[in-house]
Amino acid sequence: MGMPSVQDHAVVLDLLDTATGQPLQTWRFTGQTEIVLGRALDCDVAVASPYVSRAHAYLQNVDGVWQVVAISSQQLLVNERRVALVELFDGCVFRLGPNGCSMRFSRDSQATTAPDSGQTLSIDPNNHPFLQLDRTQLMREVDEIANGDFFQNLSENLQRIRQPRKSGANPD
Amino acid sequence: MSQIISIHSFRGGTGKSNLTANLSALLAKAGNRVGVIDTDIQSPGVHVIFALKPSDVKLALNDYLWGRCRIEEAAYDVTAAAIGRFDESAARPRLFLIPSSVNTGEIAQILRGGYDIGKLNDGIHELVSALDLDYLLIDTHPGVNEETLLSIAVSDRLLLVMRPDSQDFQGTAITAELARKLDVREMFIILNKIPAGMDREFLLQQVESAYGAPVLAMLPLSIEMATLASSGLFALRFPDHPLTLELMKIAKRLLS
Repeated sequence: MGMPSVQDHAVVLDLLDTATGQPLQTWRFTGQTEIVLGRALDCDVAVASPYVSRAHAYLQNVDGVWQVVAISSQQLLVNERRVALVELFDGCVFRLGPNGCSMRFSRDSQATTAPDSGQTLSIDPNNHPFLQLDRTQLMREVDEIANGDFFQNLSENLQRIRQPRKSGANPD
Repeated sequence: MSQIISIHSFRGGTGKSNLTANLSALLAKAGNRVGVIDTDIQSPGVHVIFALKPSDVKLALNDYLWGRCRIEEAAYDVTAAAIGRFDESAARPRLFLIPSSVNTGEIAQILRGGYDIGKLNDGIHELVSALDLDYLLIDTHPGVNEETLLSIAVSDRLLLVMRPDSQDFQGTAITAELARKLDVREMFIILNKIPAGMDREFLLQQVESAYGAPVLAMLPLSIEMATLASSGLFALRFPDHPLTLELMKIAKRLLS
């Protein structure tokens, strides 16, 4: 067991299957401010695609914001648009060149003890912490409102509320 | 048969008022009589998009709620501002806006004194019949309060507008759950301000499975929309823009 990382947000990169969008391989990095992607074996993220340049792009952290920058003249594709640089949000997908492979970027708040550039083969299609529902909290908040007098009253009078009243019903 | 549609978002800044205004114009343009009621009494805003000046607003929703006027007297015909030239002798299309007062004294009074929420319910139905509306869109206040709950209860359809971020994701689920308890007939999700590069397919699956409601449109974060924000109707200014085409999908579904 190593020491818990000082940086509690790991960067997670998934190599996506072009047909299904499911991750084929996952890389997880902590404590690194630059991550190189390419075909060469000494890249942090080395992919075996003939359409990817030896050093194709790198990720860098600028004041806490991650961006991906193209090295290769093939550039990057985001939403089928060619770009040289793009800021990354959780869940961003970018492609290494027009015919290269797709990568998904995300942040993982779980402290990890994996070594830098440690390669894991875990397949985790739901690695989007920002799109997870806290169901316990949800039900607590819903019950709080639903048990209130106003909501109860509304529920009991739904039929009356939904039936349009006659125009003469206004007592004013 | 008239249709009442509430547009709600759990948090502010989702683009709800802009979306409401654009949708109402598309529905009107398709040959309907449409009303937009701004029940966001605490922070009204939809009037700006229809170029209705506060000085032109003699009576607002607030006046009706205080019993100072009939609700249709607080309705303003904004058809020309919204969709341009139209045949004034024909009954359709027409677009009416029922603004909330931007007078801070009025807002404070509503917040302090409250009003009979039943009056809002009566007003909604009176408006539909007095103006012979095909569609009434209710632009609700963000969060969950009495107006929101009533608007949802009275509606045939509910559009939930959210951005793809964690607070919206959790908060929108609260509204969706409450709406289900109120037996809302149809509920749709609209994902707005999606940043470039986000995995749309994945997002769609996550949202639909979490809420059990269909996603009607996925709107990109649009520079053009942001630039035009609240200074005109995007859908009519840029009829061929991908964003407008997504808005058309929503309108088509509501028209069906």
